Amino acid sequence: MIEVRRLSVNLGDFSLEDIDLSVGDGEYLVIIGPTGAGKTLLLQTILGFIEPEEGKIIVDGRDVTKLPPEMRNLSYVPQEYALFPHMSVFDNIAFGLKVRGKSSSEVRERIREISEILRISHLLERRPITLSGGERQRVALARALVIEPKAVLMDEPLSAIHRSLREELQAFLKEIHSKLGFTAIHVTHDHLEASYLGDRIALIVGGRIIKVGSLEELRDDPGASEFMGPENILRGSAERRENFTVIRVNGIDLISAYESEGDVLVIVRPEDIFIHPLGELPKTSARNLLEAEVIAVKYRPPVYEVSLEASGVKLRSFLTKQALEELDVREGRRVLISMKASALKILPYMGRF
Amino acid sequence: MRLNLLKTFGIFGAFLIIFLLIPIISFIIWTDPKDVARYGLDDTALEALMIGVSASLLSTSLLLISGIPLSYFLSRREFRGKGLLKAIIDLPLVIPHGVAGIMLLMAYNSRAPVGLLLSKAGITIEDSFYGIVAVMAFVSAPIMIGSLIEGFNSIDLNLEYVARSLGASEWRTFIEVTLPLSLRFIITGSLLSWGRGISEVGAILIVAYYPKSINVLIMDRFWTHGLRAASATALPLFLMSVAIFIIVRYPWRGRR
Repeated sequence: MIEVRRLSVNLGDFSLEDIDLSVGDGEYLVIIGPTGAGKTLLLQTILGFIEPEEGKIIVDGRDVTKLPPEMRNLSYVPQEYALFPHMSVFDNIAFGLKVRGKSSSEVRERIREISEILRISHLLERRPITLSGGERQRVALARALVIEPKAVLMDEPLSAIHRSLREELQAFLKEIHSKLGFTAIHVTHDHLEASYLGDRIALIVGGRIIKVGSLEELRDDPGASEFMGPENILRGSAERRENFTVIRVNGIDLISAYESEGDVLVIVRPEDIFIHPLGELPKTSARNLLEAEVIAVKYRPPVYEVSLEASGVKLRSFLTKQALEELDVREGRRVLISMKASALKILPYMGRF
Repeated sequence: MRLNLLKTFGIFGAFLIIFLLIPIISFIIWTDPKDVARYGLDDTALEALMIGVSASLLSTSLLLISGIPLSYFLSRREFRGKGLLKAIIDLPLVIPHGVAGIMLLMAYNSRAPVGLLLSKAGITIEDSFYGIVAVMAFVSAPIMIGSLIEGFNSIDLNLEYVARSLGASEWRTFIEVTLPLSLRFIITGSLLSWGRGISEVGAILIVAYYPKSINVLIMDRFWTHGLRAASATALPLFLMSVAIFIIVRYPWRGRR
C-alpha cells in the first residue's frame, strides 16, 4: 500500500500541489495527464529523487519521505527503460539482487524464474543495445520485478514502442500483472492505455489531481472527460462465435468483427455510431442495432456531440447541424443507433507472444 | 560537373590535411637514424624522456583523482556562479605558457605562503620534478575536466535513478554505473591531458629548467647543436606518443 498525502513540490517549471493518492496492494493505478502535467515529477518524488516541500509518502504504513531512494523498495521503469548498456541482460536483472547480497545460486534461480515468466530466457546473454523495443521493455520489467518491490513505478513504458506493437505489449503488461499481482503505478498520456490497464485512473493536470476513479467515473466527470479522448470505451467480456465476436457489455450483446475472448475493452469512435429515427427500420447492414435515449446534445464545433444511453451503456456520437435538425435529435428523445461490426475495435486481454 | 557543398568542403579540407601531414612525414623521413642513436638515445636524452613521461603520468593521475569528484559535482549540481567557476577552470587554455610558468612560480615558490608550507613537507617546485608536475597539471586541467564533465553529462540520469531504486547507494551507483559508463571519456581525457602535459615546454623553462625534461632538452639541443640534433632527440618521444595514442585510443573508438 502506497499513500501520498498532501504532497507539494516546486521545481519552477514543474510543480505538484496538494497531491493525495493511494494505491492498494496488487492494484494497477494509471496516472494520466497531458504533457507537462507533472506525471514524471510525481513518480520521481515518490521514488525519492526529488524532495517534496510538503507532504508525506507512506509505504506500508511506514513514512519514507525522508528516506533515500535505495531504502524505499520501490522499483522504477523509466521512459526508454534505462537498461545498463555496459551490462548483459542477465547482469541488468541481477543488479538489484546482487546489491541485496543474494548468493550467486539464488541470483541465477530468481533470474531463471522471472525470465521464464517474461519470456526473455533466450536474451540473457545479450547486450541491451541489441534488443528490440518490446524486448527492452520486458527486460526492464524483469529487472524491476525480480527484487520483489513494494511497487513498480513505470513512466510511459509503452511510448518508446512502435504503434503496431503497443497493443500487444499492453496486453502483455496486463497478463503479467494478473499473473504476478504486483502493485503498479503507471504514468501515461494515452487515454486508451489508461482505460485498458488501469484498475483505477488518476487524472493529473497542471500539477493537481483532478479526479481518481474507474474509467467510467472519469468519463462521466465533466471536468475529467475531455482528457479521456473522444472514443467510446466500454468494458465487457468477449466470446468467439464462428466468424464474429459477441461482447457482453452491461447486459447487452454487441457484435465485433475482431477476434477476441475473455475480458476486453471495446473502442468505438463517435463518428462510427449512426443515429436513426425510431419506428422505421434503417437501411443499414450494421450488425449492431440498439434503442437509445438522448441524454444531452452539446455543440463541439464543427459538430454536435450527442450523449446517448442504451440499456445503461453510455455512448457518444457526432452529428452535423443538418443531420441534427433532420433527425430532430433533442434531449429525452428515443432513437435507434447502429454500429458496424468492423467499427467495434477490441483490445484483447491475453496477449500473443 | 556540379560542385556540391560537401565536395567543395572536402577539397578545401584536403589542404589542411596536407598542411598537417607534410611536417610529420618530413620529420620522420629526414631525421637520420644515426643521429637518433647518437642524440635521441643517449643517457641524457633517455633520462630526460623518463622525467617527461613520468611527470606527465603523475600529473594525469593527480588530475584524475581530483578531477573526477570535481567534474561529477559540476555535472550534477546547479548553483549560482557555476558558469564563472567553469570559466576559471578553462582559463589555463588561454594563458600564454610563459605567463603560466610565472604565475606558478610566484604562487608556489618556497618563500610564498603556500610554497612555504609545501617546502616544509619536502616539496619545492623551483627546479624540481614536482615543479614539472605542477606545470603539467596546471596546463592540462581544463582538458581533463572538460572531458570528464562531458562524460558525466552524457549519462542518462535515469540509469543512476534505476540503480538507486534497485537498492544501490549513491556510492555504489557511482562506482558500478556512472564510472564504467564514462570510461571512454576518462580514457580520452587522460590521454589528452597526458599529451598536453608532455608537450609543455614554455612554463617548464621558467619553473623547472632542471631536472631537464625531454622538451627542455630538445630546445636546449636546438640552440646548442642545431636542427639535426634537436629532431634526432625528438624522434623517440614522437614515436612513443603516437604509439600510446593508437594503443589507448583505438579500442575505444565508437564504443560506449
